[in-house]
Amino acid sequence: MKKTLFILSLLFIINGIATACTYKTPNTKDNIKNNSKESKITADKIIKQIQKDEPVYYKDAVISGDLDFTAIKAENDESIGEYRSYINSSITFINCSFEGKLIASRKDTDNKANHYVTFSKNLTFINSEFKAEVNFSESNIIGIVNFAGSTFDEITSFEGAVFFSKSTFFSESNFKKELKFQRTVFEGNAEFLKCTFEGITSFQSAVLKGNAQFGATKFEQYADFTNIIVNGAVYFNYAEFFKQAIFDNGTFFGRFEFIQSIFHYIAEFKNNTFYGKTKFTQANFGGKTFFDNSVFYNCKPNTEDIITTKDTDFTLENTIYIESQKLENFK
Amino acid sequence: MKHLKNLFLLLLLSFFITLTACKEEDQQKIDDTLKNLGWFGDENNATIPNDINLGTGTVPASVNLLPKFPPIGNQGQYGTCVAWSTGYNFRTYLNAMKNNLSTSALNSTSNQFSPIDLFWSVPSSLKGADCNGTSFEAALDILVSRGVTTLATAPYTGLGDCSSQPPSSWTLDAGNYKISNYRDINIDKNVIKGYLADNRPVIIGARLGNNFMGWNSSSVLTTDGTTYNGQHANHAMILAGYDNNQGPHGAFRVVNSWGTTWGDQGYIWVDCDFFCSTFCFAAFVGADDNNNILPDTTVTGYDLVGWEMVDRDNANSGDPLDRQCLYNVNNIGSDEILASKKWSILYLYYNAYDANDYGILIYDYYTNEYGSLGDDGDLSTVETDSSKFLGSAGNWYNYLNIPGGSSVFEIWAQNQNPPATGTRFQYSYSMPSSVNGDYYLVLIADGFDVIPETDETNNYVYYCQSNGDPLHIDNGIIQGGYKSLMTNMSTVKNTSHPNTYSTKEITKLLMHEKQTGGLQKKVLNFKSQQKNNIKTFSNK
Repeated sequence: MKKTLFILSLLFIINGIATACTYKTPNTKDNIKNNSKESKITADKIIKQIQKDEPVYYKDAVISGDLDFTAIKAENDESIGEYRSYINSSITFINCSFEGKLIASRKDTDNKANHYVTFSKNLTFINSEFKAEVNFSESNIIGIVNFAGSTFDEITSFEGAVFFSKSTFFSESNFKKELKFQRTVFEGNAEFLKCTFEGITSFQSAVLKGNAQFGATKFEQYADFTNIIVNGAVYFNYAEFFKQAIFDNGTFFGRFEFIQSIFHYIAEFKNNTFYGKTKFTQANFGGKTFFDNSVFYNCKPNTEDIITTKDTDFTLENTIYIESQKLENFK
Repeated sequence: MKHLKNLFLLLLLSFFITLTACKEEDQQKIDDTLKNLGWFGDENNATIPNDINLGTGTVPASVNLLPKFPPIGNQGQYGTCVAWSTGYNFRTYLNAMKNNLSTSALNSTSNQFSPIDLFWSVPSSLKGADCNGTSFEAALDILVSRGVTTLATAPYTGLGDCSSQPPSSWTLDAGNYKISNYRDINIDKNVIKGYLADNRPVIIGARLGNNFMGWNSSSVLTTDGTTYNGQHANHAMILAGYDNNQGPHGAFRVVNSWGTTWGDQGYIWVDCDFFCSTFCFAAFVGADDNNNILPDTTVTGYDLVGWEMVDRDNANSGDPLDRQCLYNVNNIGSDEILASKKWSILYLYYNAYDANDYGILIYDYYTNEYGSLGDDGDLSTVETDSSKFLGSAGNWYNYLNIPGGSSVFEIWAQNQNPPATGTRFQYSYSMPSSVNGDYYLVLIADGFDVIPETDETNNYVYYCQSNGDPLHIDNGIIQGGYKSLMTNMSTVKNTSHPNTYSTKEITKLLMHEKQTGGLQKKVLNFKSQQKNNIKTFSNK
């Protein structure tokens, strides 16, 4: 009996492993050419696939040369001097390394024309490394966007891009140089959980229509979140800011949480409008912190057990708190 | 049937014409929209001299010139931003600096300069209809040639369609407030900071998007898109400082003319990197009293004058690059100029619109370093240090003292054995084939300003077109048949070209380049083109 049970258990385990292995295999459709065995791919080859509207799928590959999406011919002027290419292929790279630039936005050398790209399907670069500049400025991405676990070695820009999917994933990515998300529109949730931002990072004038998840992130340089609008909740819980953290002139409709966040230097929350609950519980403020001219519509922020140092200095000039009114005699 | 065919063709033609006209009309509408803010966007920089770049040393971490600016102006719905940036803000600043005006004094319209006077003065052909914009060149040319009156005299009301001419009383007063020149500068954050640190505001042309349009904060602008029509809007403003501690890369303080309810009470911080890469498309500096020149020490006794100069084809050579320069320089002062002063006569070319593009052709050096009194000759025969050869086409030394009332040729001729005859030196030289564009050729007595003179402005003789226009040179060959004798004493500045480089700017450039070794490097670059040129004399 014991032997039978052992054999059954062993079979069950083997089956489980086999099932798990099957699950991890990419779900490639018949018409997707599985290039996972190819180690070195030229960017030109990928562009040719896109020109034929073929799905692009690579795993464990090294991509050589600049991958220039603007090489896809733009059908019409978007505006005077503005051209937009449309990419109908789904784009998927897993565990890939890009030796050249990723170009989805460029200016002509004479500065007279701009070229942008719209991605009609998914744009997926999971666990990939980008060794040169990445530029998706002014791109429109209709499908899901997933850059989770990727490393960006050089300047990276999603300035003015629009992410239409319900979630956009950059979680656990590492941005080693300057990062631009200015004026970027996230139609859904923005997932930046556990990212490391080693260079100057700017989300100025970004619009986030879902939740903004920046939990457990590290900002090693200037972090600019000025003029942003967030419809959902903002989470910077356990985030760490080593230089200035600037959150001025924002409009936050949902929760705004910096629980156990660490600010090593100046933190600015000036001229903001907070409609949701705000929490700085157990946050560590190491420098001057400004809340001037901000309006809190949903009570004072929760500042229980905050940690301060001798350099901490809160300024609250013209800060307004509007207490929630209890509903009385309501039946 | 034939009629039908013709009718069809006619319809097709009319449809095509209508389509074309519509496209042109649409383009015009868009163009007009872009002009609405007031700057045309395209400057003819080819005809605006570049500022002579003498390099910038270390600059402070922040500069704030706002205490000498007027309060924030408001152009209203008119496309007059160029007049606000150059007239109201820039001209007012220059006057405030010159007269050390206080903030309260700057609140007075009698100390503020009038954008309506300036905009009305711009010829109709150089501005849009219905007050719809102009260029910096048009407005700044007015400031140089005519000036601008004060807001007390010409209040910003009743603009109409801006086709009116300013009354003569305004023009009369405007003559008191001209500027000396304006210069195009490179859009480089260190260069711009250098000018601001030198108390020189920078007039800028920017391309705006919605982010800027709706700005209402003290944050640093680091990004912008396009405006309501998918394009950028062109706009003129002025920089009044910078702060390296604002924003991620430091920021420039921009003064706008949209009233105090816009931006940060009328101002905005713009990120330095964003400013240079995306935001700014034109930048100018200007001066009201030649503050871009050397202080002059007036000394009686010495006065060198470029007396005459002829530049002509070298008839002895078939090479069109080979030319001859015939010249003389007088000391019209009372005192003898000793060779020990180590002064020089230079013959050089410089680009009419970018004097940083220059080269010394002939270096005629008066010194006691070589031989004995009366000696002269090719400098390379007595000097081994090649860094002292400053002329790309020839270098000559002269051990001569020049008494008051004498010319250099006269003293040189007396020292020849037997004494030479003639009236002037003749120097063969070769124009470098790399010279391309619009240039002036100029003979400068005391080229490095070693001798303190009674009048420093008479040291220059220009070779140019008869109206003061520069010579056009293609691959070193002077075009247009200007063979010789097109010289102009003292300066090329005239009524049709009021914004040309001043002689002292050229001298300042040469002195700076000599001190920093830039001159010697330039000569070495031309070394391969150097020929054995001989200084002789001529009475032709």
